[in-house]
Amino acid sequence: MVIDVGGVNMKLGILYDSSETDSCALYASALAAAEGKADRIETIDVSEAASAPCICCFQCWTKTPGVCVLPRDGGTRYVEKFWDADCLLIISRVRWGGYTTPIKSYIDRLIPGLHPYFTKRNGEMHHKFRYGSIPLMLAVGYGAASPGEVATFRAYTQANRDQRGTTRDTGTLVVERGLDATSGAAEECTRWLESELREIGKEARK
Amino acid sequence: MKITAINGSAKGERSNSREIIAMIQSMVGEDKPIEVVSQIAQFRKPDDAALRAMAESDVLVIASSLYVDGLPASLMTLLDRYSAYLAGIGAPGASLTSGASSAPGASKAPRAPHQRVFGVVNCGFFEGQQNECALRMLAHFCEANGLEWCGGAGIGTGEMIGMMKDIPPQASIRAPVVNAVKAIADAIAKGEGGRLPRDAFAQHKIPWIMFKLAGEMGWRSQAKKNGLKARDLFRRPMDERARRR
Repeated sequence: MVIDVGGVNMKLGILYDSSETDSCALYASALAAAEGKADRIETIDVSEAASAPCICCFQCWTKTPGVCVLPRDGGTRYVEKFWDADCLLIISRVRWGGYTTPIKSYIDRLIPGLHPYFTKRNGEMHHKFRYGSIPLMLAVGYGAASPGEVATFRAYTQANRDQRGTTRDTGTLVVERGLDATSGAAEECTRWLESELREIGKEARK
Repeated sequence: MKITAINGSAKGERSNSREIIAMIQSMVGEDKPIEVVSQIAQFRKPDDAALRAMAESDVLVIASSLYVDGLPASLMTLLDRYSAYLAGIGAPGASLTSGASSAPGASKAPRAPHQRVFGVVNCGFFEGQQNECALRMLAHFCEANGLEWCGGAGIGTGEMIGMMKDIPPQASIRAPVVNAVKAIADAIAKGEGGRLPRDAFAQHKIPWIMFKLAGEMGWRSQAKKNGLKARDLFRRPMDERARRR
């Protein structure tokens, strides 16, 4: 999705899971947030095509740099679609404080977009980027089993952003009260994403 | 005491996670043999006998590498299957949800009460602290399944674990990592009630810049073995695709 936020063209990718009702509802909310600003939508539904898990062979760094050697699948298309996205919105049920296994199978496949060499960001060692940057990972979580899982999900998704060197502590939304029509959670997701895209656009213009 | 360790690395036998399990084995003593379940072997060929072995254990050790700040997806697949297995045997008469791979009679397998679970997560970055979220995820996995989380260790400079195995354990470069693993081995050996007071984080005692340069030299060496030049590591194939379009 190419979003024009006040003169800055931003490309947004969305990763969601159509096998889960809440994920579909939040996906619709995310689209509503981008409505009117979007020229093109780049979405991956993890239930439509599976991504084989990364096997950590590092051949995408040392044998075929930038290209995963696993047989072509959803994870391959994930890199092709999202490698140059400014933002990647991940909509997932909170599983043990992280993403669900089908979502994480996709996330792990972003490795070809990184460079094996190291650099320091936010005081920690991280990988350099193959292409200037990596998408800023925004996250929406739902269905956490405990307050502890919510806290871990926030810390974990923030760590994903720290890899990029972008400290954006508002970049995670956790829906804690269910997604029925009366909860207002869907509307909250729309407002949150509108605000995030606006703020990220402002920062990009600086 | 029955101990099972999950080798959470997709690299299998030649992984640093496997080396961590070997370290724990030597520390707890050969009289307490550790059965090892390889998550990647289980991913390729799921087998409920492994789940049964895990469920029957008094202690479960999960040793893994860090993938994008969390647990590897293929390890999560095994933990998902284990959760379904435990749910099946936890509720008498409940059918197992792990599908066709469920062995007949598996629901009769005993479940060790208060199974103690320890975790060791290592990463290729310098700082052991970067494994904190993955350890928290293992703790939540335990909460969700009624298992007893007994603490874990987050190890940075993970690529050095295997390289250091012939260096004396208390050599200053190696000691912080050995001590963190030893704390887990001691808690395991203590038996019922043995646990870490808090998660431990450590990395090999090597200057940050030296680890960075050695790591990068390692990547160049790998590339060279694959017939590439150092500059090939910087290829940008997606840029080329975009230009061709």
